[in-house]
Amino acid sequence: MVRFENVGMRYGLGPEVLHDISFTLPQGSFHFLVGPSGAGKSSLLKLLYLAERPSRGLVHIAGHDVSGLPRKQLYRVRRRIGIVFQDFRLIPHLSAFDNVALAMRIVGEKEEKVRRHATELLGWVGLGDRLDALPATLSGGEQQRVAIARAVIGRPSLLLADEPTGNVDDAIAMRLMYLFEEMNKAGTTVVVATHNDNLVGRFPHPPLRIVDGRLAGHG
Amino acid sequence: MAERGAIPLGRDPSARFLPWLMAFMVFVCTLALAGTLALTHVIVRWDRSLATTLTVQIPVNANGGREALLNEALRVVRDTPGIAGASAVSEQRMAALLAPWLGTDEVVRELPLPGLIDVDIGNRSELDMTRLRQRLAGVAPGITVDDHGQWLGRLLTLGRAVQVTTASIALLVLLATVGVVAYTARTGVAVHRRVIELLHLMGARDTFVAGQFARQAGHSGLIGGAAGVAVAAVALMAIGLLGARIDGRLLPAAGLGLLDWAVLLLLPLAGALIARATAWLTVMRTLARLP
Repeated sequence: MVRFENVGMRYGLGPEVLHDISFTLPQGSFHFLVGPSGAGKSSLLKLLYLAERPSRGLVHIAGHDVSGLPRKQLYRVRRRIGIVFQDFRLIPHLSAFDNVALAMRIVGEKEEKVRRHATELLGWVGLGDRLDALPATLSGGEQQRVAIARAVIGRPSLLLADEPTGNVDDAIAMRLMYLFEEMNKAGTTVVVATHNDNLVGRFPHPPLRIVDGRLAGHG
Repeated sequence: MAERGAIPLGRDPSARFLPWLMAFMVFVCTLALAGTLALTHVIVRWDRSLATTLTVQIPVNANGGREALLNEALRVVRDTPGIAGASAVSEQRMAALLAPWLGTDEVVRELPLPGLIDVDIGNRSELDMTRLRQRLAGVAPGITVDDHGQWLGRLLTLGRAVQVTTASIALLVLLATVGVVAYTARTGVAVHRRVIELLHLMGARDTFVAGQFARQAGHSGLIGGAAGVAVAAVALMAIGLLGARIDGRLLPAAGLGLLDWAVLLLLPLAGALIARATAWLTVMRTLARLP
């Protein structure tokens, strides 16, 4: 599903923040991405969700060499990736429903299907009675569940979550992890970036450990 | 759960300004186009009415008596091949024609006036103007034949210059509209860069993003344009009412027909389409430059 070969990355003309990263994530695998703050987790995630391109090396995702893929073709790969951002990145003027529905509207799904799926999914994450609520009126945990519903509604092949348990208590964190496991059992490759060693210890999934921009361990 | 645009474009200060600007642009464009259309009708009317007529003038001081020369010239004209009809202009009619300028006083009625003959030359195909002039010169020296060509030519040149001017105003307004919409769209892309980046990361194509801008610009164009054309229509009707009060003999009638109004009422739609296309192309070009 994901293959990195000797990948280096820098922002603009700045110093290299990732060095010689090589790993493979098979389809249907589940990995934690761990490491200290500033180690390069976010940069690696940005490469995975195609917000950035590598400065060198090859990045293969879902059968595409995205290192050299023309900008106009990136959307094909991005549509196979679901992202849960650390700050959720919900669109403030859209309701919970519209935030989730947006992911389907972008790919041109029929409105009837969009309404059915978005309503069903928001009910599944426990927000069936908050469809019309704007993000500002939702709690942090509720916003996060909207963000997760938005990430999974397109049934992505690769699900990326950046510190998904950072703003919630342990009980909700465990619920989220079980949700990701359900997705993983359905065949989705899952990568969860986290600082939470306790969480990592509770699940048997191999960690990708980043230290000083280098891959220190790939389980 | 009504669907809303992913990018909150209607809330930008620049986007809020756009309908007002479109209203002004369409207002100016409507007046310019209405002026062009009205003038075109006047020119066509003048051209049609004057191209098929001649005026024969017997000078005041011609030897032989005004009435006799007038009758002889009328006979010569009627005998000339290619003439569909001819009639002398009566003194009463000449007085009526001069009344708006000179009044109707007794002294005016006693002014020496030239003899005039109105000539209808139909389709002009058989008429030999040189021969007609030679034959009339035989009646009395100084008789002139005016085919209105010079006067009409100058008038048409003036009319067309005004047409070009009004069309240029409309073109400038169009270019200004395109510029403003493009600027608004570029500003919008910069203001909403974070949302646009999110949409791209979610798999949106540039066409999806550009579509949002195009819809907003088209909507602004339609709303603003409708307001602009409505105000312009009121102004045109007011001008029409004022024009109707002026003596019709002094100015040519310059009205708008139903088709003209239909064209003018389509301007908001045209404005909306131009705004939509401009926003679309601008956003597509701006996004294509992103890394």
